[in-house]
Amino acid sequence: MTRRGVPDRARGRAPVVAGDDASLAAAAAAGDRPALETLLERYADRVHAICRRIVAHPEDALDATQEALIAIARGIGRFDGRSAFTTWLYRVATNAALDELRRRSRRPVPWDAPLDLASPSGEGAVDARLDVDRALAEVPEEFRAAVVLRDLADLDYPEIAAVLGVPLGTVKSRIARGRRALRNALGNQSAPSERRRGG
Amino acid sequence: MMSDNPSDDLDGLMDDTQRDPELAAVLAVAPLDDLTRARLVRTAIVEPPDASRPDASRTGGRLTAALGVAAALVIGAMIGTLVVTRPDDPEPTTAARAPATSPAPSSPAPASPAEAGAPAFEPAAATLLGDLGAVASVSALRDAIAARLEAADERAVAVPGGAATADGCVARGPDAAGLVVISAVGTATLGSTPVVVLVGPTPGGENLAVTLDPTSCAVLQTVTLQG
Repeated sequence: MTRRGVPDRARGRAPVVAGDDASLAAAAAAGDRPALETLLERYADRVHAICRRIVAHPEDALDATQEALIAIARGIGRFDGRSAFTTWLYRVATNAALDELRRRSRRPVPWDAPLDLASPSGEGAVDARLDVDRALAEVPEEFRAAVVLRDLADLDYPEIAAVLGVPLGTVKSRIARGRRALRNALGNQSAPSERRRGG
Repeated sequence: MMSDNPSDDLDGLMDDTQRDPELAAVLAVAPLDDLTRARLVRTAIVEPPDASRPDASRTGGRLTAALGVAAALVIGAMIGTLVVTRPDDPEPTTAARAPATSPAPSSPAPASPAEAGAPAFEPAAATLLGDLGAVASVSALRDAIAARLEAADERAVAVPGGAATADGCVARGPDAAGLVVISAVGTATLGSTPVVVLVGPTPGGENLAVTLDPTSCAVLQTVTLQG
């Protein structure tokens, strides 16, 4: 796990092309394919983590991740560097996940659809995954996205505002309400904020 | 539905701006396995139209962009002229998905596996999915494949049509699509792109549907299937 709280497999693995995000993004925008591949390799896990928790379904999350990576590959030429690459990347990932949710809402999929037991491993017991997915599904998607960006991706509030394209106050509101809804949905098994306050 | 109005009374929760470590632990996601990550990246990298060259708007390439649009229109018109209609099928199909008069699964396709130095693949055991029709997304493609496989199982017969055009890609063998074996073959139009669909397990044990360009047999996308 990284500072961002999502997997970073770049550590311990020689990148195809070394470099910081900005220079890699600039190179990729200019048509440097290895630079693009390095960026996608570097951030695939983070994109997947965002999609996995916003979509709250393993297979749909992989679809959203694929769509996000394709969107990044196709849109990197329009990335102008005025914002951080990660802000742009999280925006693309979040939009891909929300798009996947909308697509799913238009097709009949029973919530008890079989879990993807063979997909990304190591997430713990199936029951635990089911609990988290079901709990997340009870959180309105706009609140869910804000909580995921804050507590999973560790973005600060201004970054989340930039990713979601909403005012800072709305971000704060969504995170507060989303956390409360998620804790309730998890069955009151934990109430971290209340405990921190001594409540 | 909860309000999204930041001015609502939030009982002081808005002061809680720190990352919540317990929720962070609950939401943590394991890294992708190497095969899945590589597949996702490879699919994204394959022929991204905008990434393989500098952005046209920043290089003053408006003429290039216009020529690109014109080329796309010409290609579209060419594809349109190749539309054929089966006598027994009220729906038109494109040449890319046109059925052959003799599927002959044991006949090697003209896409010359020998040229590629690969042995011809004999798709005798593959289920013919036929033409899966137009699908808007990989999710829809997955649903269409599942429905067609289920129908094929129920009827214990292959669904005709479509797979004949896939012969060229099938003949290249499962390896070319990253599969261990090809268990089902079909065609579809994904978005606006005619594709060949090959289904089978990967060396890692995943059950995948792989879409390929009907002409070059280049892998376009991969879709994870259940089971």
